[in-house]
Amino acid sequence: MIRGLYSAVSGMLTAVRRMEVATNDLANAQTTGYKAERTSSATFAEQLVRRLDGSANNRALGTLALSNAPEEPELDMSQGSLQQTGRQLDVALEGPGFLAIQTEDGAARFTRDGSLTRDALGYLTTSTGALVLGEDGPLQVPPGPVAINPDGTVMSGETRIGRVLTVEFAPGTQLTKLGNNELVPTDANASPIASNTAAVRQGFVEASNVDLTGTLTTVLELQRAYEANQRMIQYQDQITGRAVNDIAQPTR
Amino acid sequence: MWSMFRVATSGAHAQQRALDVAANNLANAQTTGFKSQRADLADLPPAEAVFTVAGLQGGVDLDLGQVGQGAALAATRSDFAPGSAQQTGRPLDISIAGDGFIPVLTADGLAAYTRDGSLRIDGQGRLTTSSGALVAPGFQLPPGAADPTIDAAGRITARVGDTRQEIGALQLVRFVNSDGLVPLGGNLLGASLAAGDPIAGAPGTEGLGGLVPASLEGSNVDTANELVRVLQAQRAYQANLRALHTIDEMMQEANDMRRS
Repeated sequence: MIRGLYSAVSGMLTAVRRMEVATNDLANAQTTGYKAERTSSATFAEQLVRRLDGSANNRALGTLALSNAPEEPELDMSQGSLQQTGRQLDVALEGPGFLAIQTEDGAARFTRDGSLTRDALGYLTTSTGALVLGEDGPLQVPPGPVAINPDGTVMSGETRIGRVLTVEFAPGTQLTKLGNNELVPTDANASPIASNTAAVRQGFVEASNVDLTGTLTTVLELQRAYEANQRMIQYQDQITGRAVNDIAQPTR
Repeated sequence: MWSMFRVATSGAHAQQRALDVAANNLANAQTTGFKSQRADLADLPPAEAVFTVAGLQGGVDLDLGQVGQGAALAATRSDFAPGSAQQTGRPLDISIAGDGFIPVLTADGLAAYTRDGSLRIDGQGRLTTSSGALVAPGFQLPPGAADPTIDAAGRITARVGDTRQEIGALQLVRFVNSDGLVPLGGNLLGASLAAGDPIAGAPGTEGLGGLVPASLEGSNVDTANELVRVLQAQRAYQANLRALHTIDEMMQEANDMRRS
């Protein structure tokens, strides 16, 4: 009986946790280059349940999972739709990969947010001021029109400035979000591989790939799961109440 | 669990900012030399989530990694694409075909920059913008001068008596990072560290656009585009409020667990 309470509570907590992820996705429904997270729940290891009949040889009844827990959310790396902006320092990656950027303190980060700008010295940067890396280091673009070709080549008039570095990670590499649309591999030893499979589209940005309808459906589903588990707690509380107050009552 | 309220609110707030920017664009759809802006949103750094499972031996804490904490406005980006030049026939109207700004001095003596080329002569014979800022470094018409005009190369001339006399030459400036300019209102932009130093030159040289006399640059706001942005922001706003409402209902369920 008590075990059932734990199962119901874990069901409620799992729903809350998955709800946190869904809420964050909804908040980022319009965030440039944002990748939605998929959540799922899994059962805990099953345990052997035995009947306690007071004798030494308690009979095994089978297995039962006591709890249910959310699994680590997984990034949905599907392509977000490309939105045309016509702005010359907007780039969207079409295909897998990330732009490689370098923060002010020298750390390497990865992003699909290609809404770029220039700093006072003309270096291409992201919104946070991180330098956008080319194959030969940061890209310094003189004032005036800039052309960025689908292969990533940056041209200022007839002068070749460099080529935007796009990288990929080995399949199965887990990525951690750091905020500001930046990601890093969860395992610090996982190294990026220069790829250039993605086409660099100038004048476009990649929209968030959050599916509003799907996420709102998940939200409803989670709310109902939460309610159902809450009811199970109430029922089990009532049953326990009966056991304590009614069955154990010596005289009526 | 409580953090979800904040996450959903941050999403709604971010959409509100996007709406503000779109509304400002729409309000300036007819403003001379106005450059449309857009709001870029970014996700907020995640926080550690710990999930406690009650158990027979007091329970276990599971570290579940990180959950993102919502969204915020990351930057507003200006689209410096040229607006369409509209012929006005007024001799002191100029539009810039290409990169560049007209440098001006505000009433407080601060340097500012504009693409609004609707110029005029004030009561003291000085060349100013429509809002009264002096065109830098200062152009003074001699007494008795009439019919001032500006040509494609920026030469300002006026008729004094029977001859046309040159008053001065208008120079334009541009920046390494025009995105870094700060809007000051009144169609003026201010310099900033992020924009870099102004690079001055004659119109049509060194990458600066030439002048188109007797015309004004229209706003580059695309009304249809802005309306689409408004709709997108509205729907995303609603989705965040829906999430907020659902979270509230879940909290209510938790509170109703024990009915007295």
